[in-house]
Amino acid sequence: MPWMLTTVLRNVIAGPATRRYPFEKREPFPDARGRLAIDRTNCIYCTLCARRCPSGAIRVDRQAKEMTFEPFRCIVCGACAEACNKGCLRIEGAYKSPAVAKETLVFTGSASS
Amino acid sequence: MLENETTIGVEALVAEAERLRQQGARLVTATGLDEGDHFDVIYHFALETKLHHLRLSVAKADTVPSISGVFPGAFLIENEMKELLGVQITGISVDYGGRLFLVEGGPERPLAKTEVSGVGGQKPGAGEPGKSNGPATMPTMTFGRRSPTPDPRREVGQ
Amino acid sequence: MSPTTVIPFGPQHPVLPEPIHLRLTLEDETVVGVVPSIGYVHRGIEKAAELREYSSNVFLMERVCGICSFVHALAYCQVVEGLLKAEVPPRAKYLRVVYSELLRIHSHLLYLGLLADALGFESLFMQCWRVRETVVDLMEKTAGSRVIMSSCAIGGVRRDIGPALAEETARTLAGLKPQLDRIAEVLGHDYGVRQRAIGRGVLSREQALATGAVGPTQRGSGIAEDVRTTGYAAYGELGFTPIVETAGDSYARTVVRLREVYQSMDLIQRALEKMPEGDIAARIRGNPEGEFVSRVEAPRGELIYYAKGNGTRNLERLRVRTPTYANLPPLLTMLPGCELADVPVITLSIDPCFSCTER
Repeated sequence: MPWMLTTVLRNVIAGPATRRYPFEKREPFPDARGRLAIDRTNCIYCTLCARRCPSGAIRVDRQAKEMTFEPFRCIVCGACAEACNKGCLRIEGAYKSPAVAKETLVFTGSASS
Repeated sequence: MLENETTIGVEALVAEAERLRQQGARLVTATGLDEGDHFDVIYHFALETKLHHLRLSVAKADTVPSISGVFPGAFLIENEMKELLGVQITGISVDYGGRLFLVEGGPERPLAKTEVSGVGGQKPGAGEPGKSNGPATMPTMTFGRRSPTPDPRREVGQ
Repeated sequence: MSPTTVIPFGPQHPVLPEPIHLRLTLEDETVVGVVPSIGYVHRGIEKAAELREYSSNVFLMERVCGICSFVHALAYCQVVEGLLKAEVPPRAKYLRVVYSELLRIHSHLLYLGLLADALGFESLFMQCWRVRETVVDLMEKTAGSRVIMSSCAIGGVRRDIGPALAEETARTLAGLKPQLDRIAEVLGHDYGVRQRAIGRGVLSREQALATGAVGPTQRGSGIAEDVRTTGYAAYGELGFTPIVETAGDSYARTVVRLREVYQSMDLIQRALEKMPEGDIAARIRGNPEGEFVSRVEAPRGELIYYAKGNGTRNLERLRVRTPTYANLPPLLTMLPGCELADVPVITLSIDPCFSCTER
């Protein structure tokens, strides 16, 4: 019994061993892969990202100058971000949040026509 | 062609397996290949740190004897080859009758590239080939196909 | 001849990380026969690999198993590099070793926690997984992702480990050793663990040879075989001896895995020190042609990939044989003769991963 005393006292004095999520969140590590961020300012519709995506989450329509992205198909592998020469796709560290329904994001209009 | 490979005939399979077992080899796995008009079955064995391969060619309607009498661990591999590819292996120590991985009403012989004609589909409990259960063709699959009900589309603009 | 009862073990059981159905035939409390029934997690990955281009398959093969995902990607990359006759740069080989060993540590700590949980020793389970949490954080800092690392690419690796990160990794792992020592002490001396693991599920050396056991299951029965001795990636340059125990029971297999955690920490330290400078990936050209076989030591044993290419961008055939597939017949040899209450711990002691088995 007495050998437990140090453990008991240590546990009483120190706080909880786990982080109180969602009130306290950890900063994402640099270079962690959490979600894909799309910035279409320099997109030239080369469709390389759509061809490299292993799960078919990005689709690019060259004629209509439209890109569709399904965040819940994305496996955050980063193949598209590596393929894009213009820096339109970036992998960020924060995890993508859960949602109650799947959605498809549609990006229309062209920045550099 | 793999390095350290020998081609043997179907009738020599069990004897060769026994010879390798007596040398202390371990059965690693077996691969079935669909070559159109015949199957190529490659058995991979490990002896110390090297791999030895035995390759045999068998016509699609011919039978291959099981080596589960020599290597008891072979029964899972042979059941899988029989079920997913259609190689006719007889005498397996525990025969699942085509229901190891696949379910009733599901795809039949998904790994076979061409129709396996002259061979019946396996029914559970039946030991010998019976009438065909259904078409033995590959199910059509498209990569990245959209689901039938479209997800709600949200316009983001640029 | 006492009457026999048939009891199903699984497919859902608190001790099993993935589903398997074992049809146990019992006489009173002793198991006399067992028939396995698998197929609950069959996803047809061998077929899916034929439908996709060979370059996208890396992401598919990582997802065969969540716990040992990097070694699947590594074996796949090695087999495709063999088909393409591509040469991997030396720095990439060392990085592959570092990632593989980090994965091995996380997998073995997961197993130790699950074993403690199967014995009902939940606080030890939490301690093991707390150590594992630090390792998994390391995996996120180096590779980008906690479990499915996506670090291996055909021709090398995708991410480098810079000097600051390497130093942090080495320091963190060294700091975990005291916590690991405390866990090892409990596993070695606790009465409950010893009663339920020592002498249970004995697999003799002859049985292990005859049924084709691999990995810690094989090394716990006295056979010193480990694929890392063949020297793939940078293991040839780092030097490696397998860890062997002779008792052949559940406890021996647990001790092998525990000692392998220490060995992996040591391998990572040495690999980070010896890593040469250079590129981390080679340029890949051409299409795969011919046949090739590659073997890798996954945390659970020997993982073998056979691939056949026909000159197009799709592989003609990909065959995967995972370690738990080979460890199922030894399990079926261990179970007859034991008592019903020992079945969960013995099944867990081969460290089963059925999503690997069924792909």
